[in-house]
Amino acid sequence: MKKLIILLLFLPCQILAQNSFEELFDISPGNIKSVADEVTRYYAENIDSSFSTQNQQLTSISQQLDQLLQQKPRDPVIWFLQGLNYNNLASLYYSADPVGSQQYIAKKLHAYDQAMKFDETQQPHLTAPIYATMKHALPINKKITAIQKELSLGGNGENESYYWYLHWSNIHNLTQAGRLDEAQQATRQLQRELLASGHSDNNYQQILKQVKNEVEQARQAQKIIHKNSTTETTKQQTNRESPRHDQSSMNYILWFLVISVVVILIIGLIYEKRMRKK
Amino acid sequence: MRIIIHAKPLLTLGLLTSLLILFMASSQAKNTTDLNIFSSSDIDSNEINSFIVIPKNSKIPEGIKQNSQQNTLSLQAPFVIELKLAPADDETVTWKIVITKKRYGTIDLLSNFKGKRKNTLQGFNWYSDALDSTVLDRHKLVFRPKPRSHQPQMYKKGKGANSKRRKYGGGSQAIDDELFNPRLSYHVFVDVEKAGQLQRRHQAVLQMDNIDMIRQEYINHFNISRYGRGENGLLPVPRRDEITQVPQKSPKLTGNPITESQYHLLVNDGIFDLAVQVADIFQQQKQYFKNTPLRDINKKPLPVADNQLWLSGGWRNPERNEWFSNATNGIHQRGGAIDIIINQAPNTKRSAIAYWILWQGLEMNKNSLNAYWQLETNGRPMRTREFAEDIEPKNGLPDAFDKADHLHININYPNK
Repeated sequence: MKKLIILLLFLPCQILAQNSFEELFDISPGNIKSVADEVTRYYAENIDSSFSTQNQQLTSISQQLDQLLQQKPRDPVIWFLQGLNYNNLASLYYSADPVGSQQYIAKKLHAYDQAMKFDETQQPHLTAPIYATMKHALPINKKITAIQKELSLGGNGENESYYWYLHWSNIHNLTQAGRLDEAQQATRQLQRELLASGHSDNNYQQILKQVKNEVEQARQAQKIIHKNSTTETTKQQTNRESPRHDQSSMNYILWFLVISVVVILIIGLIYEKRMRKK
Repeated sequence: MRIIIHAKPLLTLGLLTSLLILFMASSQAKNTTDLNIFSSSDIDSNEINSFIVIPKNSKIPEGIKQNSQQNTLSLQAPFVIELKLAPADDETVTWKIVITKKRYGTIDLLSNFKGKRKNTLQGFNWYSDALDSTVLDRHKLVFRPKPRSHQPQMYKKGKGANSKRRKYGGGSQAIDDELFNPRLSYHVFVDVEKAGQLQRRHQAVLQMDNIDMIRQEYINHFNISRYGRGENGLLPVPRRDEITQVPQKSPKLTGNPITESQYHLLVNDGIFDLAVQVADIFQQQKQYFKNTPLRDINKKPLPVADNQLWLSGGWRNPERNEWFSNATNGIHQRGGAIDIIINQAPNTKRSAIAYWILWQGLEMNKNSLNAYWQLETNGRPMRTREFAEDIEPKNGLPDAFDKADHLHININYPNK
């Protein structure tokens, strides 16, 4: 017993979660466990080794993942791992070589894109924590898809309020993307789920109120923009019409000049004939 | 002839019969003052016939707070139910134990009484023979509870097969009596008869109260892993006096209660004061940046909005922790940690700025704050490098603040 108590007393004060791929991403990596765990370690832990050592290791992992993708080109989890490893490389290069970092960011986005595409049809399917990890990197419409996937998988709640704030994130991004009808639908869905789960207290109603305000403000802003753009269009049409008037008057002048020249020529010819007769 | 047996009506009939037997028995029974009952070596538990169940061959530390004296729980105290008035020589004694749910398991009988064990549709019964004066210590029934063992594999996050979001673990949103941490109870009846005529009947109910249910959660989670994988939990079990009523929340705190456990009890090892301190620091910091411009990593000024903090959670009972956290030894279960969210659409520039302000406030107050804090995303703490880099997304703010889904802060647990 004494040994047990001593063991307990010497446990580190800040006990952190273990960072295996399965622990963090809630899916078994099967026979690629060692590669998956290594990518996860770089993603989740502070690595102390030198730049060149890390670069060598991450590049080697990337090559291994490339080989795996040659065998399984439509595997969403391997594509995710490849993207995450590019993220590790981008992070490594961030201060040393910003241009190199940017290249890896572009590669990461492509890999995440492939992972999401193949997840529609291929097994094994991506999990909520995977979508939660990818979403930070993505352009807004892809980000919305990732958030909605995460929501549909029940969220990756590592704290009590995470799931509800994920709803908020979805609505916020839909609003930012101008997809206001969808944002309104998502708000109603949040309201229904809060009610069904017994979160009808004042605090959560305040969140709902903030979310609704956000959508409403965006709608108002859209109306103003629409109104302004309508006025602008009318103005532009008006502005376009004035030169048209100028053009037509120019035409009249041209026609007048042409006719005048023709009339003068005819008068000149008649006058010349009469002079010859004389 | 083929006989079709419908299980559901049978179950209902069985349940009704059991209830009727219990009702009849209890209506005839005298109250427990005629019995001496020993349910627990803990005086407070014993007083209300409550108890905890310690598995065989285990040694579990007791005393969870930072300054607790630790004991060891190593042996299940046997239940002893004793007739205060000893039976006469010409009287017989018949004992009966009724367990109303299968989930509660069975018993280990320690008294040397002959009897019958019977599994019923709902649970388990044991009857002694009519014990005459030749049976030693027939006035005293001794047994140990033998519940089913805890199954960590039952926990799963996300949505289930029916596409409905899974409910949280037992003892949190709802105490699930069947699946997670049952409120174990044992009904004991004793009949004293003379020449076949009932002279007196007594009964006792030994049942866990909420405090012992919480303690049992800690016992159930000792030395097992989350979902059956990862590192094992080795947290001590709280003593009864370490589990207290939930204090009223300060008006400075918005968000969830300091615990969402439906026990309406908690282990509070300083989280309440810590939460108020953090709220004050954030307020001061916002005030400071109203007068002093906050600048991003490219030295461009940043707007400081009037964000609020949202208390996401404090103390978690182990069932709840298993649902929410990768950390089997997480300090939330010690009543020493809180999670804070910025009350704003997450992972936006506005929420990132607020996390940055909060972080700076905590760093500035680190000498007066006996605590440790970390920003977390997706079940892991941020790496050091993420406090300097600006990749996801590139917006002038360190990624750690962009990606944070909450700030975890706990009191320091010194190595004693």
